[in-house]
Amino acid sequence: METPASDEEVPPPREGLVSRWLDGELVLLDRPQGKLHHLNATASFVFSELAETRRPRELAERLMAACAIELEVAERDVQAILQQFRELDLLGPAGVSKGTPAG
Amino acid sequence: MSASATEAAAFSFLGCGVRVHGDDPHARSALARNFASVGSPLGDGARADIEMTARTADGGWRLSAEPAAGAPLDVTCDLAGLLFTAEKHLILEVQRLRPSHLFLHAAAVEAAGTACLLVAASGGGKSILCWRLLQEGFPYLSDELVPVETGSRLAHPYAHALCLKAEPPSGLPLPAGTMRAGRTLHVPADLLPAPVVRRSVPLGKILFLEFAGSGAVPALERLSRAAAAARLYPAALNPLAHPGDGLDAVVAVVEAVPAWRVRTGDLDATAREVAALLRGDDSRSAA
Repeated sequence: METPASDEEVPPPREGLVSRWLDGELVLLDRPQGKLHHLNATASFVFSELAETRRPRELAERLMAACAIELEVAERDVQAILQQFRELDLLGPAGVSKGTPAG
Repeated sequence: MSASATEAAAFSFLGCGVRVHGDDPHARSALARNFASVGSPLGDGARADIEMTARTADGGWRLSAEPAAGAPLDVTCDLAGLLFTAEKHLILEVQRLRPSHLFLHAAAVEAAGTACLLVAASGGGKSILCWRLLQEGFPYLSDELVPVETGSRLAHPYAHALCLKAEPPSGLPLPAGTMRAGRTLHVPADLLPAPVVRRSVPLGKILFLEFAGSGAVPALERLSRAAAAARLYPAALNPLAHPGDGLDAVVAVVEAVPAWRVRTGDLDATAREVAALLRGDDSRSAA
C-alpha cells in the first residue's frame, strides 16, 4: 500500500533567487551559485504559489484548479516538483529565509 | 626600435583603440594575422585605450600590459598561449570599457542580413561548425565572441583568426596560410572561404549546440524563451556586471530572437540542417 505523501510545510524559496516570467515559464537566477534555472509551466506555477502557501496538499489543490486535473495527479506532480526544487537547492531552510516571491 | 616598428596590430574595436606590439617578427606576424580583420584600422596618432607588448622570453614570449584599472598583465607563454592571452586581455578590457554590451561566448555567421549565434560549451564544436558554414558561403562574424549592444540588440563582429583545436575532417582542408601554434590552428580571416562581416547586424537566430556523438542524426528543436534564457545566460561573460545581474539583458535578447537546440552529430549532416534553417526552411525544426 502506498504511503500518503507528507503534507508538511516545505521551506520557502531560498534567498538570493531572482525570477523573471517568460511566456508562462519562470527563469530563476541563483546569484550565489551563478546558475540560471528554467522551470516548465507547471513547476513555475508551483514555485510562484509558494508565496501563498507551502503546504503540498494546498499546492496540489491550487494546481488541480488551475490545470483542471485530478487531485491525485496534482499531488503526484507537486511532490515530484518539490523534490526537484530540493535537488536544485531552490528552497531555503524552514523558518530562516523569507524567500523571494516569484514574478 | 621605434613604436611603429614593433607594432603588430592597431585597430579600433567597439570604439576602443587597441595597439599590440611585438619585439620579434614571429610574434608580430602571428598577432598581426590574428587581429587583421578585427574592428577598423586605428590611425597613427590615435590614442590607444588598450596596449599590449610581447617580448621574447624563455623560449617563448612574455606578454605584458598595464591596464587603467586592475592588475598589470605579465604572462610568459608559447605561441598558442600568446594569442589566447592577448585575446583574453583585450576582451576583458573592452568589456570594462563598454558596459553597454553583453559579451557572448559564441560563434556567429550572417544569414539574410542578421547574425546567427552558435552557442556551445567550450570544446562543443562551435568553431568547426562555423568553419563548415563558411564553406556554405555564410559570412563570418566570429567563432569566439559576439558583443551584443543591449539596447538595440545589434551583434558586433569580432573577426579574429578562426581558431580550431584540431584539423577538420577530410574534405575541409585548411588554407596554406593557417597558423599552426602547437595545440591550436588559426585561420586568418582574410583566408576564410566566406566574406567577413564588417558592420553590426541585428540578431536573427540563436542555436545552442549539443554534441550527441559523431554518429548521431542531427536534430533541431525550437526552444521556449525561458529555455533559451537558461542556455544563453552561461554564455554571457561577466553577466553580474550588468543591471539585474545580466538577467534582464539576457531576457531582452531571447524575447526578441528565436532560439533552437541543435543536437549535433556528423559535421556535414549538421551543417546541412543548420544551413537549411538559416536559409529560411523553418519546417526542419520541431515545435
